Amino acid sequence: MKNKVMQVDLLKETERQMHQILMHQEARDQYADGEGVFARANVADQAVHDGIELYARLIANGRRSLFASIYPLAETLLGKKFDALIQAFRESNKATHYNFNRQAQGLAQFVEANKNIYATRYPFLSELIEYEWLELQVIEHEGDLPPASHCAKDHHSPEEYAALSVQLNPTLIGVDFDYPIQDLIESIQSGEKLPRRFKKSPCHMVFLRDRDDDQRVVQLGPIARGMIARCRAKTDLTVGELLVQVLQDRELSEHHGSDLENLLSIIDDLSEMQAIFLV
Amino acid sequence: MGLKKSAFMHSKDQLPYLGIGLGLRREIASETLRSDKIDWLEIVPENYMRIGGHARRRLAKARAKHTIVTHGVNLSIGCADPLDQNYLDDLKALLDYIDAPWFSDHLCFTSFESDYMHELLPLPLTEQAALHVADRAKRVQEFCNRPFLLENISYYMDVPGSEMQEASFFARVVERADCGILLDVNNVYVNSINLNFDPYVYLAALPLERVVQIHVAGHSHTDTHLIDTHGAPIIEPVFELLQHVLERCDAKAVMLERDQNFPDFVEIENELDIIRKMVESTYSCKTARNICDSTIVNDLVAPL
Repeated sequence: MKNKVMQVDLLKETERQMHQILMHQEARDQYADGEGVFARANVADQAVHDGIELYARLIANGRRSLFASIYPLAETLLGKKFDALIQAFRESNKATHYNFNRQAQGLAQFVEANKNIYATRYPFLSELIEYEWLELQVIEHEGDLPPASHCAKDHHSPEEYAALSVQLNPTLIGVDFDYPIQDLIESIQSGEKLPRRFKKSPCHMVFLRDRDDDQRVVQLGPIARGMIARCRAKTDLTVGELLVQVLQDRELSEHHGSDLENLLSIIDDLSEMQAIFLV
Repeated sequence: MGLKKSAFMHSKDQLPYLGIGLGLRREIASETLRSDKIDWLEIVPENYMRIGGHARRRLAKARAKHTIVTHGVNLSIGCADPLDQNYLDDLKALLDYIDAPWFSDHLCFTSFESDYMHELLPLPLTEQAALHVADRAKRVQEFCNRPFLLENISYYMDVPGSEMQEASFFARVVERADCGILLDVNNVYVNSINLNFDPYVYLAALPLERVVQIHVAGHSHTDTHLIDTHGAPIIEPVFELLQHVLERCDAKAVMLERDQNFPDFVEIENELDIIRKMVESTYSCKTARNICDSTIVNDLVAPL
């Protein structure tokens, strides 16, 4: 038993050193002069040093192409500074999930937490990165959408319509943004020079995957957003119950004119964009 | 009296012969699923575990047409940390869904203290490390309830402190774990150049009877190393190694790995044709030889 513990300790120490050297530039710069199995005194072989450099390069290149594939707009915006950002992010954040893409999760929060370093030029950067992350997240979301054959096609009477069950798209994610994120994205994509100062303009966006497995991103108004929140809070809501709840919401009805015709039209829109399914 | 067969060798006898396969990759998935030159498919399980959408749809289509096996990259079998039970649960669910006849991963470590590095890193080749890996491989095989294969990685340096040759280490692990081998002949070639050894001596030191699956691929060059990129055509010395191995083992499946720098799909199919011809001619020769050998034996023991 003691021997087993010792053998794992030795292995663990070797792996710990390799991890340090390969993942941290500072450790890589110093390892040969330090102690342990990778110290110069123990490694006469130049091949080990070449191997370390090669592995570090392979890891960095793989990481760079991964982050660039997930955050192409942030890469376009930041240019060479993008590499420094992901290096700093990865040095202080573990990739705790086995899925390759998920090592890029949390970059938006990292930028937000360090906005005095990374977001001075572009204060909306963390929101842009969050937007790009959510696009991927809905594409890979493991939720299954109800097949079209299960959804109501026609309703013959108002009573039948009111009795339909409202199911929320399981892949749907709603997020508040402070900046007009879609306008900014269009500007970046078209190569426009962005202004020095950005005006905040709060909006609520939903990200979802449709039945064709394509992602959709839509900005929602307060009533549609209120409906989504109610569907999330109660999974077996009927259309009738949803309408009653929204009509009884004083804030929505006072400020946003939730008359019945408007509400029915919003339900149609949400259904059309597959944010909800009427079953 | 012959030696008693291990549980793994018994189970190998029961495994289906799959033929010639290709990795299911998103970039060439449509052509792959349309092609009639492919007998079976291999997937990277981490790209399908707990993932919906296009990936799940692609997997469902593939499953309807082909036998599928998985070839993982993040089991991190050599890691000194405890095995990741969440990973194993997700892997087992996927293996059950596709009804995989076997599954594989790499003889390496890819994580340290729950930090995935997304690179196949070599282990110190020590007796202690071999015992550690073998113990974990055995547990993984038991948990997933089907034969488990370990693949020889391509690696670019000997880890300091190593005290045995890679082939001895590999043999020690698979025999102790009583699991199978996924032999990557391109990796054998790449390592033999980078680390300066004779690939045929390496192969002679392996228990080739444990080979269930073979990988064959192309590689790339840097100034200092050959890199196992799976992004180029297979070169002749690798085909020669494949031929050598085919003649010496009873593999159930041979697979072309192509993961990047994708050519016109016809070129991939042409490589598959070459591999198929090699496999079929080698195995038909072996079958003929076996029949001939058994006739001789029967003649010898036939009563006068």
